[in-house]
Amino acid sequence: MRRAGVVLVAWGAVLGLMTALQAPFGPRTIEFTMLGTASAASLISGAILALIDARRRVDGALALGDESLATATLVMGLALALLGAGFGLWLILIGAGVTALGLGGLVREARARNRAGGRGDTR
Amino acid sequence: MARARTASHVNTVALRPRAAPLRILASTDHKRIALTAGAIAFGFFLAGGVLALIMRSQLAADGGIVSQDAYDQLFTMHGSTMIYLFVVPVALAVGLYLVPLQVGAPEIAGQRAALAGLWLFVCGGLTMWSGFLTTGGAASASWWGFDPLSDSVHSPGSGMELWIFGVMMATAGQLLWAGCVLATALRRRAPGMTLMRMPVFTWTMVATCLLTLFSFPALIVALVLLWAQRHFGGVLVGDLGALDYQQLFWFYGHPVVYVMFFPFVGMVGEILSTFSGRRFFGYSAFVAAVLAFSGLSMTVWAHHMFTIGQVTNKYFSLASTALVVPAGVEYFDFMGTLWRARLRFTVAFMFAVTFVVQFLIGGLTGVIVASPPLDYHLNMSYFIVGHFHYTIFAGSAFALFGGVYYWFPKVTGAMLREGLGRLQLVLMVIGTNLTFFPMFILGAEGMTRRISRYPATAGWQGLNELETAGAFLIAVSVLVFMVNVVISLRQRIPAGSDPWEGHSLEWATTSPPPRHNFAELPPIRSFAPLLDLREERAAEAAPA
Repeated sequence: MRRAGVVLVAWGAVLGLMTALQAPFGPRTIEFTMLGTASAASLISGAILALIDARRRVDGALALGDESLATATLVMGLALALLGAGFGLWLILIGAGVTALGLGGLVREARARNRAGGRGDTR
Repeated sequence: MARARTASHVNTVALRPRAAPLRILASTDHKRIALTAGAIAFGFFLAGGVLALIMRSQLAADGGIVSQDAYDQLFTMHGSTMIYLFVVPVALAVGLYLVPLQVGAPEIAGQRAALAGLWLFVCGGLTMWSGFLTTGGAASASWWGFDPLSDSVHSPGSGMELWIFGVMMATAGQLLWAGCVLATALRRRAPGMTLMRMPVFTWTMVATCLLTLFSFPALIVALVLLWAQRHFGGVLVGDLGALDYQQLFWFYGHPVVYVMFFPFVGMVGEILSTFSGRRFFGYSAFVAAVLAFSGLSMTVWAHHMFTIGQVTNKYFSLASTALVVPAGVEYFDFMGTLWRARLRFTVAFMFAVTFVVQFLIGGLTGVIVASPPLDYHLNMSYFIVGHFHYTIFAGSAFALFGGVYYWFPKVTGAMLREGLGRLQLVLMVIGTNLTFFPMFILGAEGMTRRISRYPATAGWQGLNELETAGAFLIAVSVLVFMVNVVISLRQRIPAGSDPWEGHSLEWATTSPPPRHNFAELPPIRSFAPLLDLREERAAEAAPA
């Protein structure tokens, strides 16, 4: 067992303690909420990781690709689409097109990985 | 040598080979991603440095070089570049490179996410800087972009818009990197590498990633609200609306200071223990201190808002002052490591020691501004500028250069020139203190930050000229570093796999490391497995 969750749970508990320590000082709602949310998020992430680690080993072979142009394309597409929110629908559409290309590339890479895994193709 | 999960156990998928530039930009190798990110971040550092030199020239000449509007753009883009595009990315990039190596992993967790992070960072940086190409110029509402200064009335141009999108993208990229590094440290460790055997640098990266993952989303939320306010209005309305933006921003804005600090503390810890030739002193206390420090640093954000009178000053002052406890533990561990050791005065070691001294000035002045009554006097003055430049430049940049001198042989297989390194160090120390120390005096005398001109009767010209001379000296020192890199790569002195007698696993592999990091791993029995091996061999070789 990796005990990955322990770190997150411990850290979330520290944040929880600091959130509680705010109480006597009469914090504003947003102060209490932000720190409390971070604490809860850390605790929940830690608990989920602990559950995953308890059920599944993470050792063993990893299927890795050395390059992923599709990932770069996908991010470029998303970036263009985001910029389009400020500069117009035309840029959003271009971004959506590039994103679709990137997604297609990711599917292709995943299929190649599955094929290679099936053949035991290693290098 | 015990075999662990190493390259021979890793399947890779062979797609069609690509041209070299595409291989660099589409590689999922964590080392390649980190090096590309580091190189691009260094480019942004140079660009941000040029902006600083223009600002310093303006202040030495008492105005007359650029207009106030242009000066606003300069300090906004200087701060934004250094924080969003240099120190934070470079801190995480060092983690991307080293953490898998230090925990004995053949690869980083979430390779594609790491690559996506690189592209988000590049897109974000270019987007922010493209503001200079717009008719209204780049963003000019400072690196924190406070509302209402950043709203559509006061910052109507598209430069501000590009800044918002650029910062969002760069931050999203950093979130992805932090997730990958944290997952690697926690879930991809080699057999035998328990949590309490992780090297000190890896632990500081764990703290860094926790801070990143749980505070950076607040910045994205703040920027989405700011964007909505600019386009639709009615989002950040009234006094509390603007204050909510500040709360959200500083919930990111203070932890990010520690994201720009912890990795460098870890680097210094590794360097000091290696060149002391002994195990890092007080390892367990250090780990506890780093985790407590990171937790505390999440809870002090509103000390940036003391003068507003709308936050619980007492709590945030107490929490801020409490930071000296874990910081003190870390310093004590550094001193304990050095105490009565046989020190080797390499350039990396001297940069690390300089970090310890220089950062102390930043830390102690932080104690001053953690006190609300003192902060009321010093807020928005050059004292604050001096304080954070001592923590971020005089502190972290020195540790970063120390780290570069230390790990350059591992990354490239070639040694950097020690002579040029010493010259760089001397120039940087003099330049840094000439530039930033007078800021404390000017701030205490009332010189406010972000002014492009000041009254001739104020008597500030002399100190401003001194600061400008110091800034140019820093630029010369960076030039010396670049010359050193070029010479060292062209006329290579081979480094071998472990030129310094390092303690952690990255020194157990070749320099540079192969694609999947290790052919085989040594047994891991502590946080310094290579030192264990050397001690065992020495014990075996010693006469009975």
